[in-house]
Amino acid sequence: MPKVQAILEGILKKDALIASRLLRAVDDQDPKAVEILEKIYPKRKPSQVIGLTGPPGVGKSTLIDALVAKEREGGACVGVLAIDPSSPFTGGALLGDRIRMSRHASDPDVFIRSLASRGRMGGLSASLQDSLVVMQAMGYSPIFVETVGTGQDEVEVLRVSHTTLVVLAPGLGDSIQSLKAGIMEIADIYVVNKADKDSARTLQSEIEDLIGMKVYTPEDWQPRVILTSPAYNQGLKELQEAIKAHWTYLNQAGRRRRKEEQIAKQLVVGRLQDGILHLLEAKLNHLLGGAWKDEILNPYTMSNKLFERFKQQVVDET
Amino acid sequence: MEKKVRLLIGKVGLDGHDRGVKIVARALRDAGFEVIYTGLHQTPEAIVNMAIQEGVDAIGLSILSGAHLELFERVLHLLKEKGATIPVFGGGIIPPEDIVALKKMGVKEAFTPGALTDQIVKWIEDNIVPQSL
Repeated sequence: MPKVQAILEGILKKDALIASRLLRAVDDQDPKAVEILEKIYPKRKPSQVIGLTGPPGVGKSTLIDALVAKEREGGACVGVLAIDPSSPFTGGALLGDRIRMSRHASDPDVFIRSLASRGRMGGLSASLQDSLVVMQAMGYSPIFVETVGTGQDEVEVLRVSHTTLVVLAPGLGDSIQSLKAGIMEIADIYVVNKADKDSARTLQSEIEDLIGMKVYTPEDWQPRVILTSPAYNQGLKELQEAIKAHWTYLNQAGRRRRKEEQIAKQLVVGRLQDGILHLLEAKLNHLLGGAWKDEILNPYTMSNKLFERFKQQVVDET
Repeated sequence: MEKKVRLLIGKVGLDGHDRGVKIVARALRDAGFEVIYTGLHQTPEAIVNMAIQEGVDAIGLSILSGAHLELFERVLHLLKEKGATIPVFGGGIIPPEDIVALKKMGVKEAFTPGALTDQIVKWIEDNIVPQSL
C-alpha cells in the first residue's frame, strides 16, 4: 500500500493510476480513503460541476461527449462522472455511458469514470461527492456529472452541482408533464435534445411557458432553454455559452460561496446519514429478525410496537 | 466497506461481432460484478486508458477477427508501459495452439465458442481479486 503522502502527491500530479485506485477505495467506502479525502479537500481547484439529469435515452451521454469535445477545443482538462443503476437483485451493474464518449478514450486530459448507483436513490451514487472531491483536487475543470436516467423525482444532482441541466427530448408526454413538481423545477438550463425532431419546438414553448409563470427578480438566474442536436452539431455552442454564463452569474455577489456551502453541507449530511444508517441497520435487523417470528396480525400495530422497542433500545439510550 | 469486482469488457480492433460479448457482459452483471462495457472498435490504447481510469480488476476482450495474437500483445505491452498490473483474459475464435501462445504472453485465460457463462463467472470468482488502496 502506497503511503498517504504518496497518494496525495499522485492526486495533485494527476496520476491516473493512483487516482483510479483512490476512486475505487472511495467507491468501496474504504475507511482509509476518508483519511486521504480529508487531506485533499483543501487542495481542490475551483472547478465548475455541471450536473446533467433527465429520463433514460434522451441523450445525456451523447451530449456530454459533445460538450467535452467543445471544452477540449479550448484546452480545458475535463472530468466526467457517469452513473448507471446497480441491480436490486444481484448488486451487479452494466456501465455503458462511456460508449458514447469513446472518441475521448485515448485523450489523457479527459478523465471519465463510471459509477454504479449501489442502491443509492435520487439518481446519484453514495460515492459521488467524494469522487468529485478527488477530481477537483486533480484539477479537472469543468466536471460533468451524469445521473442515472431519472423519472420525475430524482433531484439529488441539484445539491451537488454548481449548474444543473435537465435534458429532455420531444415525444415523452404532453404538456401536463412539464407542470409537475420535481425534476421540472431544478434546472438552471433546460436542454431540448434531439432538436432535429419535429415536436422539439412544442416542448421548447411548453418549458418557456413554465419559466414564464414564475416571477424572477434581476437578482435571480432565469433558466434558459437550449435546443441541441449533437448529431447535427446544433446548439452546442449556445449550450456551452449558457453553462459559462451561469458560472459567471455564480461568481458574482458571493453566490458561488453560498452554493459551495450548501454543497459542503450536503456532503456532511450524506456522510452522517450513511454512518448512522449503517450503525442502525444491524440493530434494526436484529429487532426485525425476532419480530418476524411473531405472526403479523396488523402491520400498523406491529410497526408501532417495534418502533417503541427500537426507541427504547437505540434512541433513548444515546 | 463493500468490495465489488469491477471488470472492463470490450471489443478491440476491426471486429463487428458483439452478440457474444454482450451476452457475457450481461451474465457477469447478473453474477453481481460491475461491468464497464466499451462497445465496438476500440484501439488497444483506448482499452488500456479506459481500464486505468475505471480502476478495474481485470480486462476481458472479445476478439473474433483472428488478430488476437497482435491485439493481446499490444494491450499487455501498453499496460506494462503505463505501470498497470491489471490481469487480462479474453474470448473468441482462437485455435488451441494460439491459446498456448497467449498464455505464454501473459493472458490469464481464453474462452472459446461453447464456453458456458457460468464457467467464465467461476473463473473470475476464483482468480480475480478486487483491488484496494
